[in-house]
Amino acid sequence: MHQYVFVVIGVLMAIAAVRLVTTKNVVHGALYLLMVLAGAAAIFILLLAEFVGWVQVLLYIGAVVVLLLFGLMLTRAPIGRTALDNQSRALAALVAGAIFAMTSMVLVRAFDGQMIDFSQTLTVRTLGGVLFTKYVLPFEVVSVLLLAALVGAVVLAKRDE
Amino acid sequence: MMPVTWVLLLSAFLFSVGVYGVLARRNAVLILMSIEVMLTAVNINLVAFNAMLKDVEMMGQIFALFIITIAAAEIGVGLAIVILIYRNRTTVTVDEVSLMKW
Amino acid sequence: MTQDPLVIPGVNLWAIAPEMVMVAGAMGILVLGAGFKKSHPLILMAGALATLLGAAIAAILALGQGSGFAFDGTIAMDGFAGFLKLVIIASAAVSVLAGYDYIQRERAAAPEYLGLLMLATTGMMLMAAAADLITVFLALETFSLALYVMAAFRRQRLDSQEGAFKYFLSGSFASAFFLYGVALTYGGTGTTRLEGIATSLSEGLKPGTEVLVFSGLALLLVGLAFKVAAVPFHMWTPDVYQGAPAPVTGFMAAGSKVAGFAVLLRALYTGFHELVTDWQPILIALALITMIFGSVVAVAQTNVKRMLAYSSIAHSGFLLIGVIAANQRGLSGALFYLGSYSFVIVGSFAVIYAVGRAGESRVELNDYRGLWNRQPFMAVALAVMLVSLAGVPPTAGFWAKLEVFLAAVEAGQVPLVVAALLSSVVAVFFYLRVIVLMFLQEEEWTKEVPDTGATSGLAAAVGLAVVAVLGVYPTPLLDFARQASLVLFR
Repeated sequence: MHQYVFVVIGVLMAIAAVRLVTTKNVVHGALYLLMVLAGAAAIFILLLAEFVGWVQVLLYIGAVVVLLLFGLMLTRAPIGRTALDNQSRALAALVAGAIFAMTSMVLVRAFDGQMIDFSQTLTVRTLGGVLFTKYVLPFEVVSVLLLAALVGAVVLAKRDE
Repeated sequence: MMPVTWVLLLSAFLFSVGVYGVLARRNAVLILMSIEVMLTAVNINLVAFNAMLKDVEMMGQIFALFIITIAAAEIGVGLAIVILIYRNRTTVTVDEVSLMKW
Repeated sequence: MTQDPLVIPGVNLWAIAPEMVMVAGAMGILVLGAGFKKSHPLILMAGALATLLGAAIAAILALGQGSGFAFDGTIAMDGFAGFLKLVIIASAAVSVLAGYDYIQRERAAAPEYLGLLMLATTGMMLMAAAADLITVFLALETFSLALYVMAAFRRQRLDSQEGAFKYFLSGSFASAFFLYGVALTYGGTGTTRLEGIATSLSEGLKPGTEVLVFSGLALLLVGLAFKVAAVPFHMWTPDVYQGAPAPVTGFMAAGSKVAGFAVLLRALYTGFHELVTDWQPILIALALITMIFGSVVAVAQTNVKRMLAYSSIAHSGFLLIGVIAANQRGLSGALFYLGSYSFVIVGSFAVIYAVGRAGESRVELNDYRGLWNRQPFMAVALAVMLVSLAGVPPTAGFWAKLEVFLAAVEAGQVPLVVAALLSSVVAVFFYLRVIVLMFLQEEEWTKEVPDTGATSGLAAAVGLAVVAVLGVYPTPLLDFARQASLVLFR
């Protein structure tokens, strides 16, 4: 059962991602991104990472996509292939293809035959426990980072008196 | 039970598509979106490894959580820069933003 | 159901004492700036310097607390981290001095400038101590985000915005590669702790998995090469160096290089040491093109900031030689190199800012014609620091290069050292050209009253003093670097 769900979501995500980088309309691009991110959230839940899945929905889909849509509206992006793509499409495709070929080869060689067991129980409770014991320092570093981002965004956005 | 390579291949594909997007696009916001696709690919990878390794320390999931948080912060700062540029120049097309050449 | 108590393993606040001081100080300055709109920048600067002093004391005290890991292995506390933290704090302090003139002259927002600078310093210090790839990434993003914003600080200037924009895009692109590398490493070794990676690599992996971990390492290296500006991942460097305000450029050049190399050294010397024969050839290729490209292209520059940008690329190449050597001398040489380079580059950009005048309009080579007649002290300071960058004895830069090159010779990398010497010779040309312009050429325009700020002069003086003192008497810092490098060779 899990496999079929995964295949359907995976194919949809792959199509949406490809459309995102080829579409001629930026607003459609944002919607394709939404599809990729929602698919990722579904895959997280499928792969026993419930909490990560819901955080993905709240933070990514709720905040990031909305922010990006604001960005698109505020900058009134033009529409059409020449306006959105540069001249190095062939080179970009070559680089991306090479990365895909190499990583997939390495990954298949390393993990062929390994299975994901869906019966294991990794709960949110364990996750929270680990996050606030073993990872308490990285967690605090994130707060410093968010402070820097906050101050930075305000500095950039405020108008001069 | 499901082969882990399926998930890993999906993630590798998404990552490469993101790379293509960053290299081929001219619009700043579309480049940011492509970077988000790359980060999502990494997160899928981490969560898949976490499930495969049955990691009781849950490093993969925790790292994915951190990446999601930071991606949001990064987008905030990035859009602030993009909008700053747009205000002065009314374009966010990357190769039109090039006063300086080596 | 009973609640298990949450026990935090390995709490040792000494490991993060300097960072805690910095964050507290940064928040204090931000609150002061927001609460008292009229608070004089001088008070804020004094606060920043006091905080940096406190952090330095904390770092020195932490050195005496033994070495080991804290917070369940996410962070290390050792001489290596302590040395680099002190270097970062010192260059941040000099940058605060240089930045004060900038704040005064351009009416920039003092609390935000200083607050971001201090948060960036915190991130860099965490990079120096991080022993877990998750911590590395978070620290990297902390200082990167702060630097993206600081690069855009001249908000009305198109080149500043453009530099910040390119810095941001290439930085986040590089971060994505770094993360993919971490993910693959995690898949192969089952951990993100450097020590755990080392253990699982030395226990031996399946052949397929070994390739996987190596690919992960390669992606990690791509991400870090962006940060330290190694060719071919250097594209952002000249634009960002040119666009950012000169004091910020100096801080960025020093801090991101120290932080990036801290992680490179710690990861390659401990976590991935088992793969040394795999990563050495990659880094050799990287070092070769980096130093040759940087030195050659710098010759063609007419803008002093861009020239120093390519010079900084070349210096990344020289530093990589210390990494490649993979012996203790290479490590201590690289540490000494980072220490002396930081002072020189921060000091040089302080001079560039002082010469640049309003809006940094004078940053072309021609503007340095006859500087000796206008601002003699600045001319002398810049000349000495450029000589040090060129690696001419007796300056700090000479000893740094000597140590790194000798380490590579010990490791049997003679061809690499020959290439490095040749590109150093090319580099001497463009440094000397500036010196000749400053001292031997007559001024073309009528005399203007130089408006050199006092604190820029102070910053330049610190750089000058460090170069001169270390040039004549490098032993104490060299010994400290040797001491610091011991910990990674247990």
